[in-house]
Amino acid sequence: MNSRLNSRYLQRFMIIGILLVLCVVFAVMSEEFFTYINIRNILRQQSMVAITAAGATFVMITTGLDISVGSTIALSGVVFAKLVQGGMPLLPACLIAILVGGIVGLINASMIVGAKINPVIATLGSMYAVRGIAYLVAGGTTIANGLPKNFNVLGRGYIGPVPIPVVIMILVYIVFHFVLSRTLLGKYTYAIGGNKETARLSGISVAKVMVLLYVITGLLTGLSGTIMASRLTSGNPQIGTGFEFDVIIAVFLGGVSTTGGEGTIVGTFIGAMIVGVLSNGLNLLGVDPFYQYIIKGIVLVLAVMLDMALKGNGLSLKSLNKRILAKS
Amino acid sequence: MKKILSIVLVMIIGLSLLAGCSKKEVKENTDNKEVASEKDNKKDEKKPLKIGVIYLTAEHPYYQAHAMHTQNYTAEKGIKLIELDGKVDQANMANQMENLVSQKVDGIIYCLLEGTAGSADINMAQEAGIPVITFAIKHDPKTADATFVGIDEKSAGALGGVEAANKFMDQFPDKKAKIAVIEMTGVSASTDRSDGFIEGFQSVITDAEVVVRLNGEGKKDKAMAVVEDAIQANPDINVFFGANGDQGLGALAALEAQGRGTIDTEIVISHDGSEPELLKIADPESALKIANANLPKDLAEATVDTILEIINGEREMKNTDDIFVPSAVITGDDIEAAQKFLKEQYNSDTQL
Amino acid sequence: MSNYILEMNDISKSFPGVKALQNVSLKVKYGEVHCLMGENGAGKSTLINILAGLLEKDTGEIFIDQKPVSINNPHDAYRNGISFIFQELSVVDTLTVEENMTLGFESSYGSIVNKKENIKRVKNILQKLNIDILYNSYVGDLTVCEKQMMLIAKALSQDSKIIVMDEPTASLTNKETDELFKMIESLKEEGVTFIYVSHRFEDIFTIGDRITVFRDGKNAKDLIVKDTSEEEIIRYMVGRNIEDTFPKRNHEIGETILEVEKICAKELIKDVSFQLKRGQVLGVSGLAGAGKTELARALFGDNPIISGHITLKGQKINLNKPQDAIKSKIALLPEERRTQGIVGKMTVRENISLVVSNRLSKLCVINRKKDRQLAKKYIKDINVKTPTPEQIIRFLSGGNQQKAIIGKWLATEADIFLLDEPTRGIDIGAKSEIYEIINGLTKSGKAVLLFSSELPELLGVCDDIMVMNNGRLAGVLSNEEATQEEIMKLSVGGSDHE
Repeated sequence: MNSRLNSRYLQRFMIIGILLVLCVVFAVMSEEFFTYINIRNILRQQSMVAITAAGATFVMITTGLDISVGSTIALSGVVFAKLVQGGMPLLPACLIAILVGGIVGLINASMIVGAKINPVIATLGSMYAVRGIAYLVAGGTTIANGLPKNFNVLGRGYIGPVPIPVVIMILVYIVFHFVLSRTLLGKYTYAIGGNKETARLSGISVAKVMVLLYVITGLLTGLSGTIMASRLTSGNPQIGTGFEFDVIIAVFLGGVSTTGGEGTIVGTFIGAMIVGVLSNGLNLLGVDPFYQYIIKGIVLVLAVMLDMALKGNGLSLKSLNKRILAKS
Repeated sequence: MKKILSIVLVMIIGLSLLAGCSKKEVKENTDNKEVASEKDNKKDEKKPLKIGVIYLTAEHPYYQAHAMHTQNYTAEKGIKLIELDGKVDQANMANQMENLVSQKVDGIIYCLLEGTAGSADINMAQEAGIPVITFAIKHDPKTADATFVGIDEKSAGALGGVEAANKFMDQFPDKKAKIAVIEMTGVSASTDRSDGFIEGFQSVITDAEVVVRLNGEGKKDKAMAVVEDAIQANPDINVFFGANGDQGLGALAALEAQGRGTIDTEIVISHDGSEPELLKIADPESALKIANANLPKDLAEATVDTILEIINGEREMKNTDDIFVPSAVITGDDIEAAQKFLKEQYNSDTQL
Repeated sequence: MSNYILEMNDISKSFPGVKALQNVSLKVKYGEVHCLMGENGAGKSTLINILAGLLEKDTGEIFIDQKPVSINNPHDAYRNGISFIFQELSVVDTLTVEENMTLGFESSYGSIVNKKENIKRVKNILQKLNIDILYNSYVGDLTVCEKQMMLIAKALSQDSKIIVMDEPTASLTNKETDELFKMIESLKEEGVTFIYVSHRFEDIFTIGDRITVFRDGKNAKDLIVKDTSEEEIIRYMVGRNIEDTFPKRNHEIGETILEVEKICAKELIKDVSFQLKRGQVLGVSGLAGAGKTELARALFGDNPIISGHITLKGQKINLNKPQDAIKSKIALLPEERRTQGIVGKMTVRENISLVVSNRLSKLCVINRKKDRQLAKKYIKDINVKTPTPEQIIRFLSGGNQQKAIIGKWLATEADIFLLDEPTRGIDIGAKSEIYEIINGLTKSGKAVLLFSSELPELLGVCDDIMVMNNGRLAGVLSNEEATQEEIMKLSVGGSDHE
């Protein structure tokens, strides 16, 4: 009755719908919302979360989780700044910082896949440890002196009218959309998420795939970290607290299921944009920051409930309909 | 069925926004006053000025007072104020600067967290033609040119240090002074205060020893925790300097928890002069006896005046003056003066 | 409206696009064992779920003790004296027997549990039913049979008058089945009524009184057990005569393809040796725990082999992980279809091409056209009934899922097929299709190892039958020699457990 195509499109339609509703509401209530500059700001401000979320999508489709990304983004930023401060040219420093992110991913993978530790606990541990390493490398303070003027090109520069972080984000999404939907890695990711045992008994090397996914997430987080450091013109070991939750929210909003085996890269992108539009719009309207937290929480839960109802789990739309009609 | 849920969703968002519009009340008053003053003065029909302010944090009593004065002052002048809470997160502030620029405000008052990061934001705003001044924490003068309004942290700290040393000699003429400093490590404004305090103190008591400098992260609970540990390791520390009000109070709380914290055993000095600090100062038993006071009213008005100067062309956008607003030292000796300070700066009638 | 303890009249239920039940009725007499039979998808489960309060009926009425009742949730069902023992046993393994049996119905002071009272109740009823389990054992440590008995005891302790059981003997040994039936008989005498849903004719004819047969969501026929026969029941279930459930086998058996010498595996398998020939269907029989699945997994690289050799097509091979077996062209249809055989959330097409995806791709990019063609081919060849290859596989019936899994392995062009309980939980129509497929496999020169606990199936399909006992081979019987008794003898002989 429901083919996967149908329910996938329907669900994607739903979150695009939510995004559009939000945009319309904000555009009506604030004249500054629908300007080129503002939209550009939203895209740029969300680009770091979005880039990491691309990798996290894969991991979370397999029911894994990585909550160390907030600390990793700080570490890679600090490494980037420190290397450049020490005289290394920008590009190699940037690549090394990205690699550092990948190493964190590898450590996570070895705990989760090798030692079979629960992903939440494993990445909770690395969240603390990596944060500590970031502080150590940074010497307890922010690395800001001696950075060349072009250090912030990556985070604040433009290619034509488009900010560089946005360009990078779009490239990342094109590549990973292709990987998830058209390659072996994508199919194996869905298979492992849908049924790990079946995947294993079908000859898929579950361990190898999982390691790869965590490393990819680490590398992407490293990339986000260098962009962030560049944006702030400093390597700051304190940034990124709460970053992991922004990433996770974006991925869940985008349609990844907690039971695994479902989700798309495009969906995650829309999820990240919903978060960005919501924050930005509420800021423009001057809504109290405390109210913003409440609204974000409500929107997340509502969006996931809608998603579940569409897929036929949880709240039954028909019975809700009946109840509402009965009352009227 | 899906329609119903979508409508419900929109309704909830709408309701939340309406709820959030409680913030807008202040601005509505501003708008009303504006309309009134325009009618009264029959001035030119220009749109009211929009000024954006980014505070370091909305949680600290100093900033709450500062915000209140900024709101009142700009309301008097008929200026529309957009206030943002930086949440002590430089990345967040960078986003907020971008948002203010896209809203095309006429000027920005920016309390940034990190000198170099903030510079990039300042440059971006100035390139878009929007003047920016910084206050309280200074931007990095090597990477950005802008006017700074604040207190001379070092001198303010030193003033407090001298007072504290004198008081110490009064109270404990025979003891050796051992100092613990609780500050926001890595934030220049905070460490400058501490440096100034130490200098001032040691200028009077030359053999005073700085036992430890702790990171209280600017928060009361953190300060309390680190001081508890410090006095476990060094029970004979007898001078505690908190580089802001909350950290001073936190240190005091840690001492009180150990049964100390009275004027008989040590002196606590804080920096800010907020109401809870003054209450402790007025208490003759409490060890908190000296507060370096930033004057939120003076500082707030100075920031608005300065940004207006630039907007009106009386000052250049890239002017690199440092405008220092004097600070005061409040001690337990003059309660009347403290009461006056509390009323003026914090608008509070609490009896000390 | 006479002497029925339960009457369900004119029940209809539709889902989007499917009419699951159309004006169906069920009448159960006091103190009888009433059997519910029908192919998968005929509507048995839907009706039971409605009775259990898990589904809402569209039309119809339910009468218990001749009084109309409305059942909107499971608690209503319990209050009306009906208990359910489903195939997925609703027990909490980490709680004790006593805690499970009183779950949801504890005797308590407000919210403080009165443990003593609960234990007393539990002990009483276990004693009364002669069930030999301790009230403080952890349910996770009990056997499936013991768990079921516990659930029956729980039902009685809640004063249930009607107990509904769904395929209760599927995972029981013959001895355990006898014990269960003994209990049912004695409870019948005390006036408890049973509704028994099952595919197993042996069960029906041993213990059933009357049968209601469903077909395609409607009543097909009501029968009395002692007046009917298996053929008649099948006829009503399927709507046609299935003469030969087991297709005729008349092909040649070729050369030896697999030689297993004295292998011992990490789990259970000791000293097993046998030979498998092309075109042969070699059955593997044995009681629960005898080692059938462990042997299957060992031959697939999922149960590490500690000693002994395996020679495939003349070459010694090492099977350390599933990938090794797949490379050696060995295929495994696992025992648990839902949790080991399919990826429920993926489409039929994706499941079929799951193992051979890398052959369909260049540089890791999957060639969509080849993928679709492959799926279409096997869907057609094996007759997987699905509206489209893009259908999510978990919405297919069990039989069609199984066929899709076979298709998945056919796509690998495997030579050796290890089929572990391939027809478990599948209706009679699909079963015979699978037997045809097995026949087809051997005709084209492949070899099949059929692991099964269904003796009629082994006797009908296999050329030779190996019997396992406690991880070892108790014996091998050729098709001519084999009878149910012979197999049973070997399964049971010379071991410690009865």
